Amino acid sequence: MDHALRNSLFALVALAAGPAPASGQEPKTRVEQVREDQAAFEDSAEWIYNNLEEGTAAARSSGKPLLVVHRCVP
Amino acid sequence: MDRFVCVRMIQANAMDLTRFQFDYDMSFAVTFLNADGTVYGRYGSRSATGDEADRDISLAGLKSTLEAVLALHEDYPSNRELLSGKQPRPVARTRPEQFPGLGRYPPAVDFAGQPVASCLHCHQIQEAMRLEWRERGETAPEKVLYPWPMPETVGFSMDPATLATVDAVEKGTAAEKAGLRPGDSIAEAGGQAVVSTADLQWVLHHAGEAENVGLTIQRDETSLNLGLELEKGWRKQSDIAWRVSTWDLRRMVLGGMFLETVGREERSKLGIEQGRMALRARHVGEFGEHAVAKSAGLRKGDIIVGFDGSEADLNESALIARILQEHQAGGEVEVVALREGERLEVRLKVQ
Repeated sequence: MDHALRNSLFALVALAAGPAPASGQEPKTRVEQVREDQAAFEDSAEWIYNNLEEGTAAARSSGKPLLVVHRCVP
Repeated sequence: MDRFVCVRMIQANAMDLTRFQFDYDMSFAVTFLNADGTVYGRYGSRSATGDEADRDISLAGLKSTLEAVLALHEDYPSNRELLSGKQPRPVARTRPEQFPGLGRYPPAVDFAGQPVASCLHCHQIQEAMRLEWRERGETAPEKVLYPWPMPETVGFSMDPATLATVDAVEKGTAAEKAGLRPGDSIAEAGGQAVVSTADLQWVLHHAGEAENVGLTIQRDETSLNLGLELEKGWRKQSDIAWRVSTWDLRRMVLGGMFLETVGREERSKLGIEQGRMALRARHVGEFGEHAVAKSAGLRKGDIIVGFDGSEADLNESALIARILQEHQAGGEVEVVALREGERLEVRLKVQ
């Protein structure tokens, strides 16, 4: 599989869960997980974060299909 | 991925339930749509994280789904008929906040203030659907108790690394009787284009109490039409133990216990005959309404051998459904358990 595509797909599926804490590290709080997810996706060029209206408008103007992920972060 | 407009939603607050209909127990679900709202397909089944993350989904499988969705988008709108069955169905409540108990949530997550407390989770929609029936004093239909059946319910499993290829077929099941074989690629189900296991689940979710579901499969170079005969009660084979929303069902009818089936070998050691109930309390709730079993004297590790007068060999999912269908909140059930060779009898309040 193409490396860039694999990275994109992996981000799509896995990032919300966050990396497992290293040994001895405190696990992330739920608030920290939300903030980390927000930081990773809000300014992403590939993703529209938590705004369906913006996504629908972008799909309409670009002619591309919409891929809407519902991801339970906290 | 750049051929899609990708949107990441991390809340169910104000979700348009007329548009987004998927298995709300999942923590990861994808819906593919045209900008006009037409649904091309769904992706995401049961597992998403942890040790079982690749049990039902995979990057390779998702890639296949993306390609299949792009092909559907390319053909749209000439393929409307093939997509018609995939479209959302009418619902009584168009926003989660319209369900009793969920009205307290704001229309969006409060990122600046309390992002966790303000987040309405998808699984809460599933819980609310069941609770609504319960609080009306009515028995929830099997479709509500056993939502979004996995293909295993009717006797086959899918290879998660593929678009929709059958991995295994269990003997004596509806799938085997239909003639399904490992390696078959399912192109259509119920007249709908299939781009994922989730699409198959959608077809099963909306299937009737007894129905013949048509399958179009590709076997080697040949296209075949098969009929999957669903007999009355078929949904009862569903395993709902993995569902987050099942925790609330455990509160209602198991006093907060999480039960797992005891294996054949251990049964023998315990002197429990095959065909009789043997469910270990893997977890016993400790707080509030989840601590009813604990308050009644049951503990983690107890082996439940009788429940509500029955010693039939039910798994946890079937037991939950039976008690839900036979008892309303406020009733009581008798529970018989084994602990270190001693037999205990307690009464549990049904909630």
